Amino acid sequence: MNGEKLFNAKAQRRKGRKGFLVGSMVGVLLSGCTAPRLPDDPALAALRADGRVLELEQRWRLPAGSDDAAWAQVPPQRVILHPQNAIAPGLDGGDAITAELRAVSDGEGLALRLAWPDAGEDRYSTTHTDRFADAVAVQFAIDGAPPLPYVGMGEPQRPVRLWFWRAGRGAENLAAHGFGTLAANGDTPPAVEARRTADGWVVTLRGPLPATANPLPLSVAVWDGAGAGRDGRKRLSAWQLLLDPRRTADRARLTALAQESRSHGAAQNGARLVREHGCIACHRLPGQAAADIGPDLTRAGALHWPGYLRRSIAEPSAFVLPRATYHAPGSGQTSLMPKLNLPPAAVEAITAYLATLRGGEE
Amino acid sequence: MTARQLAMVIDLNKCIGCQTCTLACKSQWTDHGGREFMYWNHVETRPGLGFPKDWEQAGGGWDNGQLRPGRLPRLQEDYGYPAEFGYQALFEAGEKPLRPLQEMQWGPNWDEDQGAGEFPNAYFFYLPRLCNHCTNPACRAACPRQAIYKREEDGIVLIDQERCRGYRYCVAACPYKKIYFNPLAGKSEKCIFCYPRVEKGLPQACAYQCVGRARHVAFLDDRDGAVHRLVNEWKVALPLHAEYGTQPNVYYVPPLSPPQIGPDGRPLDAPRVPEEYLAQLFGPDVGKALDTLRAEMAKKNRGENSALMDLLIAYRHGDMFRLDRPREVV
Repeated sequence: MNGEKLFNAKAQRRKGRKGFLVGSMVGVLLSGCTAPRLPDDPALAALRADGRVLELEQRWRLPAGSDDAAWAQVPPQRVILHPQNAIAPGLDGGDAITAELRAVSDGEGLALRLAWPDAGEDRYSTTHTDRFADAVAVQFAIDGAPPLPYVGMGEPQRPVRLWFWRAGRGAENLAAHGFGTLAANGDTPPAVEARRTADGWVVTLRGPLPATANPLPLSVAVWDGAGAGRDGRKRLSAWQLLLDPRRTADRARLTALAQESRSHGAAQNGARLVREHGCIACHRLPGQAAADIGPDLTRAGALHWPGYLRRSIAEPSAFVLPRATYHAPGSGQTSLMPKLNLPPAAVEAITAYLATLRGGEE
Repeated sequence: MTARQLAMVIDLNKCIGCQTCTLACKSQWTDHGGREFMYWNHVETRPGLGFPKDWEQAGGGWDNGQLRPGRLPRLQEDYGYPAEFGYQALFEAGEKPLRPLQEMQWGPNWDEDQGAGEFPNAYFFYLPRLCNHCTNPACRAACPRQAIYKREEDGIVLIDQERCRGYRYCVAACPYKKIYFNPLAGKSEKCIFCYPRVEKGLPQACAYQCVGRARHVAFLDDRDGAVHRLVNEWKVALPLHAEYGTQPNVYYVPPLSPPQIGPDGRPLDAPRVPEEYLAQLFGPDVGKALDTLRAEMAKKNRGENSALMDLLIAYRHGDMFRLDRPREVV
């Protein structure tokens, strides 16, 4: 409570200084009073228990740069980044890495401080044609309606926004609604401050909150220039929910997300069903020969929420990755994967099994 | 296949390696803005490693319907960056010759003075190269953003500069290494077959400026055009490295050469440029093409008529280019 008081006091000071912020700050204060206390929400508790929630700290001002002392008071949160292996070109093999994210908002702006391991500094070079630069992107699902979009660049009806930074090339403010649609969104790029540490990068990105939704789904991706990283040759996180505990959250939205976050099936049954249905004929699964007709599933549970896996099993054509072998020949957007018409319990069991596949991550 | 395909035939027997085509292209399209090292059109000397260095070993193209992996050429080592000269030295007293400020490692036609074979049977010939505007472009297939497209009306392959994000999969995929990454712009660029000229009915700058009258331009389906006649009727114009699988649309009339000289100083029955070497570039039909050329040339030498020789001689410059729509297609 002390922290909250301090926050309010600082907000009051700011109100006095900057009149135009009064409205928004009052909104923040009021929401703190009238909204049900979010930690009591059972859906939110479930999402927290599943490790889906990143806390958004409220401060009266955004930290200025990566070395601003204010960051020391913001707890770091772990985000695990897995090699992209669902579509080529991707990363064949390689380990997951852990990034540290700190997130602060002043009610209007968002500051993200990302630190991740990267062996060598690879900056964009205007005197080379064969080099690639280290890069980071934060992707926001701006359309609040469930379900969450596909974690790689969104889907046709579910757009995403991205803050993107490349070493030596600055930042971009981008939008996408599916593979290959990435384009500038017309907004000012985020302010960036980047520096090398002994074994990686610390990058601070600052800009207006990309969307007002609370929680705001985001995912993180990094590219390693030394490994010809660009495009799909990246490591990325599953969707995470950036939650501002001082603002109201849409309870219906939280409930829907909690359903996406969990499967109620028995993973052991799912593993048996996957064997019985011969999924390995097309998909790569742990301990099996590398089938390459459908997407690699060895990290399915690390990159995707059970909700996405459930939808892909029940409705394979709901969203199909753009690779020739994933589509039925001459079908347009129909998945090559047959609709199995499984009973809901079987779908749940397979979902539960796939959710355990995390590429060896503990 | 697009509705139509504009194509080019380059007669290697008429190419003198003067690089007028190279300069026509460079001054038109690639003289600034990170393109200084690029040659959308260049003339290299064969046998040789070419431009970019050793491009034939850099992969790309198709292998049984799958893209074959390729590597990215390096700016300094494989393309060579145009050297700066300290011109201010010209205004200073002294004996220092004007030299490049940095040591150049490679450049277009860097190995011009090498060739192959031993005197008196040393040999070389010139090979002009540009984007082949392939019917099955590997570059287009390699782009995950569909930034590369082939125009329906003339088959010209272009990179949409708005869509390109500089990933360079196309550069690796092109087996001719005729897509260049512009490191200043952060995007990939290539020969545009002078489409703004083509749209006005003018031939490409490289073709129009060729002092040797070596380049013919026409739509492949234009039965009166030189390309159809040389490629499909006379079968004396062949694609370069057809085995790369991209179905290139620039064709070459292979070079004839004088006979080899034997130890006794008399001419032998074998051409100076070995047919096996030409077959590596132009495929197994190169022998037949050379036979046809020799037979028709002999006719002309005997004072007989040869429609093929007349076509290749190109008495009228304007006859080499047919960019209008042929009547039977309209």
